[in-house]
Amino acid sequence: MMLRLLLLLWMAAPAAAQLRVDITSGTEAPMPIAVPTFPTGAGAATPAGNTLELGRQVASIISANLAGSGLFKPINAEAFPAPGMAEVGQPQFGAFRTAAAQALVTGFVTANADGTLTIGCYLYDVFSEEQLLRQGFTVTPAGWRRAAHKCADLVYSRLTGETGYFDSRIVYVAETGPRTKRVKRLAVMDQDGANHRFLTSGASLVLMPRFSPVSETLTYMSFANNRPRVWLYNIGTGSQQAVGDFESMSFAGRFSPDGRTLLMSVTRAGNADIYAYDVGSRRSTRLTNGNSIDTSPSFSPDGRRIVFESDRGGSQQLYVMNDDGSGAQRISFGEGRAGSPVWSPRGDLIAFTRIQGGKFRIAVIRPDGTGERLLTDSWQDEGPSWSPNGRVILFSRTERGGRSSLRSIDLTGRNDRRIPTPVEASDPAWGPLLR
Amino acid sequence: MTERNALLTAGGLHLALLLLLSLGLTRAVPRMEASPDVTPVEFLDVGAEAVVTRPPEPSLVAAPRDPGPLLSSEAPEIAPPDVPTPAAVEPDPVPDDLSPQDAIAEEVRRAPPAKKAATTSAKERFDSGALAALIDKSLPNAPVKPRDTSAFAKSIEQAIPRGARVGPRQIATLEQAIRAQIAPCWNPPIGGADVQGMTAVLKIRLNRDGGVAAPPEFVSQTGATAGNQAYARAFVETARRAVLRCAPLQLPDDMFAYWREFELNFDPRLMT
Repeated sequence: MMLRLLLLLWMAAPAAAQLRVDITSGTEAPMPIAVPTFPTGAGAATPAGNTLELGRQVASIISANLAGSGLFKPINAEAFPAPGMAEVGQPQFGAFRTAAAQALVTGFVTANADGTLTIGCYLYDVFSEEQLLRQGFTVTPAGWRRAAHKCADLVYSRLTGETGYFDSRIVYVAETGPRTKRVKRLAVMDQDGANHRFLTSGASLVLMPRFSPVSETLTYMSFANNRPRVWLYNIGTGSQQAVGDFESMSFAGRFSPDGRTLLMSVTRAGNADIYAYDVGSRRSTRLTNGNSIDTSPSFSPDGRRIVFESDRGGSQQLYVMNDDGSGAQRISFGEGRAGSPVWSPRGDLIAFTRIQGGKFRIAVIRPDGTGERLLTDSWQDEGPSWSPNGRVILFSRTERGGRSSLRSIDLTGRNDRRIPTPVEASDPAWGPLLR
Repeated sequence: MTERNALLTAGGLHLALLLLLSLGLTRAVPRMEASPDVTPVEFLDVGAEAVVTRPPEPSLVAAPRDPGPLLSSEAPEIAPPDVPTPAAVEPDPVPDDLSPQDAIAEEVRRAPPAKKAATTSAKERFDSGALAALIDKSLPNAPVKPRDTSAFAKSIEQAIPRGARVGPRQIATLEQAIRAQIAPCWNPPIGGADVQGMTAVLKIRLNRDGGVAAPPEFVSQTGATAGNQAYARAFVETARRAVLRCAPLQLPDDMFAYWREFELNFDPRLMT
């Protein structure tokens, strides 16, 4: 009986007809977002500056990060009153609605008795008036910028559904001096250009720095003692170590996603093959053979496949093989050459340099070779590197005059931006999200 | 007799299973709550400095301790830690030729129209000319084949009093008017890896003045998986925000019976 009743109810339900409208497109304009100065109550002096000033700086870092992603448009702070401490938990939404903000990032900066700072981070939906997130960070005064980046990452992540990438660093080759006597140094900085420092003095040529995805270690190529080969560099301790004891040149080192394996190219009798070097046991395994130049290896995020470039087919093209070197298949076709592939941390795309008609351009392609898209159109853009969330691509651009700088572009081909560096820059690599 | 019993039992069990599955499924689909739970405050310790000095992972820390090929004479030169460190780089000023006032004005222009005064009835401010104008403003990139509205019109015919009935063409026009007003307010997260195949249906309840009578209610979603919950939630929220941002909608008062409650299917397939 009960069953029959339920059955009847179930069958009766869809009878109520209703208008249903498909919305199949929208706007791609960045989301207007309000990031007013973080209040601090009574200002307090700290080694990082007065908390009143820090409240302004934290909001400005978050605002710059969000704007830099191209997905948000911070609203000029003059459009609304800066909230006080009491309004952090209960904002006056009307003022932000009037300013056309869709979301509100607020929080506070307070100095603690033990010398640390607490930075609170709150996100609200201005239209529904809901609190979307609330998180606090206790940091040493020196760590306040990281707390601001972490807050921006939370906001980005909550509103886009993707992980953030602001609390991360970039390593690159800093270039100074005349073309004929170029000095190249390794340099590392925060993703927004802050906390810049040089890692090497420039006495030896350095190239191709890459971060380990899991530790404070870099790999790079150095010509120290006229012996070009791959090195490891620990940023924390400053210690270095040459990788392997190959007789010949080694280059193009890149870590596996777990940081335990280093892929690199080793030359032998005029050709180059790809080797996997186990960082723990220091044993290396040869993955490719033959008379071709196989280089620029990069693991898929699951560590099971490797994309690399090779001229085995007559011209420089992209290939994908298994992690043991078997089953290599060409994935790039069409006009021109393709080089320096990097697998996205998201796994869905491979970024590379498309060389065509005298131009170097950044492009993406799916791992099965379909869906190639050119993202940039300049004279010489090369050496792509993914942001930790696989959303943004960092690369270096050389102008016709020879000046080189770092740029980033969204994987949709929008938001081409310059990354500030104190000197000319090339060969950038994005590090992992810091913990 | 036994065979008949067996057949009846089998039939009954099938029916029960069907029922269980259809009822069970609606429960299994995770519902998007109108107000998500507030994240509890969790105070995290962030590392002392952006330049972290903690030792590397075990697998790598083993290497430098090894007396292997690391010879101090061979090591590339390292700059003394503090000497060549320049001050933090000032980011390039963002090109911005707008004065603050212009910027604010621009933001305000982008804002949805302010709520109409309550004294103006929906009927007064709506005429067919305005409706046509709205349709003309409908997004140019949306050459969507209109839904087959005749079935819908027929199905609700009984519910509408004689004399107030409208034809399929008017229904299609109403749909266009809704689409034209919602689409410009919707900012879907199209760069996400899982945007392909992601859609969300919301139930909308409006007052006669076009304002929202209740928060948009989550009905269903496609493309959501265990691995993309954060993205799926953000997707639904962009849809909800679009409705709240665009309200009040301007719709023909004489068709209020049709738009008092309706569903919106947000599907960014034309944008990806």
